[in-house]
Amino acid sequence: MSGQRIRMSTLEDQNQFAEQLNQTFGQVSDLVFRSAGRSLVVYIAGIVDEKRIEREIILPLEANPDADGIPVKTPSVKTTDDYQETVQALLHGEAVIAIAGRGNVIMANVASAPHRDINRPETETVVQGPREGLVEHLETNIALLRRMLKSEKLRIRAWKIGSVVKTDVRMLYLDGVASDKLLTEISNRISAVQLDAVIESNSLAENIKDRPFSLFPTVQSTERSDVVTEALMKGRVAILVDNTPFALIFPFTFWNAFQAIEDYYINYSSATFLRAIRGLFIIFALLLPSLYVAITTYHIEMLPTDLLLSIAESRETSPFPAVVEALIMESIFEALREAIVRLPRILGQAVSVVGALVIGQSIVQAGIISIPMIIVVSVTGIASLMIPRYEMTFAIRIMRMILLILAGSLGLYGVALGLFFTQVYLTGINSVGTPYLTPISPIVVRGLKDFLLRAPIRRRNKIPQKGKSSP
Amino acid sequence: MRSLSLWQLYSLMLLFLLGTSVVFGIAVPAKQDAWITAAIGMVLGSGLLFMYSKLYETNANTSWNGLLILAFGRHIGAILGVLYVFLFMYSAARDLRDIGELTNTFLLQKTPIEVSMALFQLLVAYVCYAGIVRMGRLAEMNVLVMIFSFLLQIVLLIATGTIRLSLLAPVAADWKPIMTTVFPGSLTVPYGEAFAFAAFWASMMPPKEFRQAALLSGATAGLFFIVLDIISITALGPELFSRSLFPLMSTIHLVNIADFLQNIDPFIVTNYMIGVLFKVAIFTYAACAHISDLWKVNSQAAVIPVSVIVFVYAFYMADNLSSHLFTGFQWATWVIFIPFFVCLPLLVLLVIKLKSIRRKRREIG
Repeated sequence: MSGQRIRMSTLEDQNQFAEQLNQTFGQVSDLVFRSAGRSLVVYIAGIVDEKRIEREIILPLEANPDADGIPVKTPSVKTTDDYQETVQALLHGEAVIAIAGRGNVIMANVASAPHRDINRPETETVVQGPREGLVEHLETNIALLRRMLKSEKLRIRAWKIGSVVKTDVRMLYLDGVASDKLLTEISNRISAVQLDAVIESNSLAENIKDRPFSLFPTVQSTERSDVVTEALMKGRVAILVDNTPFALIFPFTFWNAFQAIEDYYINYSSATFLRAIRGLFIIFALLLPSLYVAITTYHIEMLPTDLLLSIAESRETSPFPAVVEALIMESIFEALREAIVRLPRILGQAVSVVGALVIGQSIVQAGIISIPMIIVVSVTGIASLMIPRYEMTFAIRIMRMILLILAGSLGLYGVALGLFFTQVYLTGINSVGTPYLTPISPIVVRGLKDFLLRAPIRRRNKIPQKGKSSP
Repeated sequence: MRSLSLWQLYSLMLLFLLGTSVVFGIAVPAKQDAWITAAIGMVLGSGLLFMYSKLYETNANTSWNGLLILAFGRHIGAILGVLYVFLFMYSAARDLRDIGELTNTFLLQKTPIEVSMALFQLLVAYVCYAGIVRMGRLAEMNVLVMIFSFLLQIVLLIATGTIRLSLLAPVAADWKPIMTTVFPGSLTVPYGEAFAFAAFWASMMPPKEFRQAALLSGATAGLFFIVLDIISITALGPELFSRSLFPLMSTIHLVNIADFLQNIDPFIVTNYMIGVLFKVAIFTYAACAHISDLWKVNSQAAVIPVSVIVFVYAFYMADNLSSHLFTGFQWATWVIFIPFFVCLPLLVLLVIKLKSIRRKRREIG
């Protein structure tokens, strides 16, 4: 198919071309053929700006039917004699102009596909800071980033991925800031992707990230344009996929998951305080239920007598061992969480009522689950909502369940073993060449400035300027 | 070949040295002078580490197995190499038994010791399978946890108010127990045991930096032992200190902040697991490295069989905690640690030096 040449010397050729297009697209109703003077204009209605076609193509062609060269006023114009390229151009919202007597056809970019307006990002909210989220339209996203990053060093590499449905993929980076090794590695991985179609950025991410089957994310996906900008300035690489309002950012390390963009928008002491609180509660999110189960089951001597008595008293009526209680409550919490995400927004209230009243109150009154367990699960639930990166919440939530079972069977020993196993596992993960636990292991002193502490902005690492990067 | 950074090797060796010694206490028989013993042990132990690094320097690309063959020829060298496989496995098994007994005493009284040991050895096998680079990364992360935890323990003990410095008196009234405890006890465990690194040091870093890391970690570990000994003696008193099986655990048991924070020993035990993990892992890895040197197999292939042997060994090596400790302090020191981790390396060093001197003379003459 590809490489098929278009001849456009006579009027018959023009008709044949129209017929061929009609066959390729299967007589669809939105494929529009218009004649203007001696020319034939083809486009797909709906993804082009018809007013512009009228003004920039039809009118000049009718006014001056015998003009040579490029007889249209559209700024972005290309010519081709490759049939497949013509088809792709039509799909991307270009108008194809076939003039009898020419060897090729003209493609004028008048794309104007409907898309969503720029909105507030819904998944990563901040109190202070920019409020623009990425949208599904690739060009809009790139324009947004261009506006935020007014630097000639912003580079964009382009791919079309997909053997059946072609999707535009762009890789953005700052020249001289992102390391060449990283760029080559990611470029190679993207070029090697063999997919029929890319529906959403995740289908690309799964094909290019390290450890695609792992619980732990090795790529960050974000909806916020400022997060992308910040990442680019740190020498990371962003990948934008058409039709996806989420950018992929490489490399992604474990600790990145616990840093929120807002940390840079507020006073550094407050930001450090927030990071400390977040760190503490993320440890809770991972460990609180298992510690509670381990201590109340195996190491009760650790509890002060008064606390022990009150826990024992409230656990008196519960028929289950602590670990079963915890598993039941954790599962219910996870179910509620999933239900609220999937729910039509109007029904949200209903789930809250069922969750709070029916489960929270009745289960205690019925004496099935003890009150301390409800407290533990609630604190854990709140804590797991504090993790700034959504991908990481899955890792923490699933690890929590595993540790819970270990705690129920082996107490603190089991929890410690589980944590060690996880650590050894994490030391083996890389994200495009960066060890997953950087800057702690291997230790990178520069990286510690923005780790638990958020150093004052002027003390933060400068954007590396090593001049032109070597080829 | 360089696969670790200086900080990584330092962390690895520090955790190795702290290992089981913090659990059982250093130089306990010396009573109130145990800290002096620990200090002398630190100096002598650093000397021992220095000797190891000198040994490494003779042939910068050769680990212990290769050095044995260089010194004694192919046949005797290889036989000694095989012997070291078993020595390392035995040492790993001793430490595995230590953590088993510790878990049995403080964490899981009703769980059979073989279950806890099997799970621990599984973890060790995973660490060894991951290899030296990841072991280094693991160490540099955990050394921070370990140091933080020690500082916390010291603060908690001081806050509890159990520390009475007068219990240290009389200082050095009797030198005989001090010296008998230094040699051989405090010298061989843990400094002599650090000889396990010889089995694969050529895959870690060049001799000069190895020496730096070894001496620094030896000094840091010694400092920890001195401080922990002083804390334990002043909290427990010399008599109780010398009779306790786990002196530091008995000390931590005294922590009581506002009647709320008390009996924190299970937490502390899980913390000590870090050190023991690295100790068992290094010994197991040393055995695997020797096997892969001797039979030219991938060291990962040796991990599972070695781990099984270590576990079986640990399970059958003693009937109970007392006999296990007796064997460790009396028997293992004289039969294994002194001859094979101190004397033989010294001998090999001398032989190789002599050979090189003779070769030089021959070249000149």
